[in-house]
Amino acid sequence: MSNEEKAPNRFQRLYRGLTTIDFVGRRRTWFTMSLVVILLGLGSLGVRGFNFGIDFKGGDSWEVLAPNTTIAAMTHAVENAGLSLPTVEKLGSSTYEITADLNSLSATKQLSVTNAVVDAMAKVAHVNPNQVSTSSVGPTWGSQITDRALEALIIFFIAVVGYISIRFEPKMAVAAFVAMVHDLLVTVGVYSLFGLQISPDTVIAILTILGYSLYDTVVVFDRVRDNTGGVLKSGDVTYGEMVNLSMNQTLARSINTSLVAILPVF
Amino acid sequence: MAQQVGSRRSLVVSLFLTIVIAFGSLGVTLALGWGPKLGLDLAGGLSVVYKPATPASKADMQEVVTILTNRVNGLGVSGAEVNLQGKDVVVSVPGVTDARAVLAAVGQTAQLLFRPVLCETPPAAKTAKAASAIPACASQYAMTAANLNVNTSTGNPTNNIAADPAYESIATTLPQKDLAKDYVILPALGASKNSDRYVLGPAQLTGKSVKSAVAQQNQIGQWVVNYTLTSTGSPLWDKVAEANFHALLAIELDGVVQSAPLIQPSQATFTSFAGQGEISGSFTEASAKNLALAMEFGSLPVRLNPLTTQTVSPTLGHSALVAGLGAGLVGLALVLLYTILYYRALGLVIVLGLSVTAALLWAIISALGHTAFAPSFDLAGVTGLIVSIGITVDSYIVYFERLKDEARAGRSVRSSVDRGFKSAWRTVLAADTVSLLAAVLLYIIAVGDVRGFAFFLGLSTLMDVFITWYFTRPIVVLLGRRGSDSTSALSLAAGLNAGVEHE
Repeated sequence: MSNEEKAPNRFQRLYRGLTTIDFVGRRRTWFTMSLVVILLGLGSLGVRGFNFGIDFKGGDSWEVLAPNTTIAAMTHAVENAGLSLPTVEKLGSSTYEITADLNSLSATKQLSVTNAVVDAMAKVAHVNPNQVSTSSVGPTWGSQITDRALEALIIFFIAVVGYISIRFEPKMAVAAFVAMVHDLLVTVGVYSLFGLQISPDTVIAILTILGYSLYDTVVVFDRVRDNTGGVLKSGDVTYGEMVNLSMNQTLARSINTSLVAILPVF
Repeated sequence: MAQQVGSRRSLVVSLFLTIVIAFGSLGVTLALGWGPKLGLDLAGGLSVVYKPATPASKADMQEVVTILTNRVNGLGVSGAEVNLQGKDVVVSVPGVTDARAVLAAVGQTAQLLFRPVLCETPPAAKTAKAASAIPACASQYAMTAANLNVNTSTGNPTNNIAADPAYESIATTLPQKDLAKDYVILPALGASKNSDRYVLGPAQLTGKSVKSAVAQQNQIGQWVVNYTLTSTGSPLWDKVAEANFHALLAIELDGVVQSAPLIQPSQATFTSFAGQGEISGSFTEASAKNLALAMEFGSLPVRLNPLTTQTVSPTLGHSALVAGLGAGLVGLALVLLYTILYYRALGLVIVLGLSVTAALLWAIISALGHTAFAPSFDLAGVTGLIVSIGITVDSYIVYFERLKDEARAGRSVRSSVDRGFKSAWRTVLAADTVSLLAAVLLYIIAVGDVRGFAFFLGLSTLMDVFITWYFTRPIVVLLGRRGSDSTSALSLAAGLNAGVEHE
């Protein structure tokens, strides 16, 4: 079992769980790196804010599959149909999305403009009007779903902290909570920095990230608890050393799982 | 042997049963031709979220759901759903080809009100503005019983009362400002910009009092609407009718006066309606039927405002489905390739395990598609399932990394599989509990797409616990006991890369 003879390279060491990265000892470095990313994100949030989609700020959008047209032709058509300053975007290879806000108009006027735009787009795309997808969001809808999502998030945090306190230790619950808040802040910061649009899909994506964050935390904690059980009493090793050992042991799993999670996204 | 997690016999039975159940139920599902109930964003369709304009009780909202369900079903579309989400009503009609027609019919958020006609007014001037309060009609224009002076032999008013010009500067009341308790100015049905309008008092009765209404032709071939009142509505109606005896009572549906009949113009004194009545006027067959329909089904207890409206064309939905599934399959293939390269024989266990999971999930999702319980399978649900690939594969990775630890500690593969499973099982349970906790909470609290995501995430998390115990445990333990001394590339030991190096 003398693995050291061949002086395995870094990948082999990782593969065998033999890495000896000093996670705990260099914690200042990690904290600083995280802090910089978070501060950058929060700074951007303060200056630029979020780029909210129509589901959050209210508005209207239309979508149609039109392989043989141009953005200019589409813009011209919808402007003639009564839209002022529409945003016309091409999604993928042949889907056109038009966004505008009609909420300032009366209900009947909204309906007539919507229908005119649908007809105009159908004409440009040479399809039946029922092939045009529409979406109309009132100004209060966004705050309502945001409120519910925040409510869900807070209750979720409380439940998770409670569960981990019971299953593991209260201080691990605090650590898991800090880890989730950290991941949340990093994600939110990146969204603001790159000006990515916030849509309901974003909310789902953020929930997914939180789920993975927590899942990984639980797996690492489980190993820490396993390794520290009984050993600490002997006084030969410190808690920090055991955490380091556990982190290194679960490193291959964490990287594998992250890869497996990232692969389907591409 | 005390370390073992099950006898050989029980492991074989559990493995066999799991595989048979998974592929058997998939076979049954396919044979029955069942498929998942696709959501609007995948199948195309229409979805509207309505919010009550004024605070409404739970009972009122339940009534709204019933009425809207009747109305949607009356259109003859299948698979439509109307349900309450918090304080909002969500109407979804999947797979419709002409969303606009359905929207027009459902979107008619009919609220039926009975209001006294105070006077008539000329059309609004171009400069007309909305008024915060509607002033009283001048006495010479007021449509009181005394002013109208109904001739009981002809059934018509003796006096022709002109429109009150004072209202010309006041705009017609907007639908969102049209509250039952307020004075309003509303147009008549089919009115043009140049028609006179009605000045109406606060509603004295709502459509709740009407039990049923039917359009019929009377003896002389005129279209009339006959209505029956509810037992509680009948005395209320009599009270209102008596107060407006020989005057006009307007029947308002969503901001439009459908009809403003004179109350009992042929009778000298008021008599009780005894729970039923007839509205006559210059109806066509269509307008009479519309009024009857509105009176019977359209009497929503509150006015609804659409919060969001969404229509998805079936072609766009289909392309989203293909793109989503394609992404999922390519991702899955990459994951499988990676795990086989990394874990060798154990990688094959993951491949087999995922196909068992997939077979079971497909069968369950398809079966759930036939119940009203499960949310329909939409893009967010697809995301939930793709996320769960990560969670499912992670359970294997946790177990296999444990096996590597055990093997590194010098234990034989045979004893590693038992010890490793025990500790991995604890980890998997802890992690899946958290995941399930999140899914359940999100399902209960969140609205819209997030619910579908939470449902399918929760479902596949439960599946992960099940598969880990009934499939992964027996197959790996059996492989480990059998092949501990094999050195072929497919052996477990090769995948664990332990105890091989020094040979």
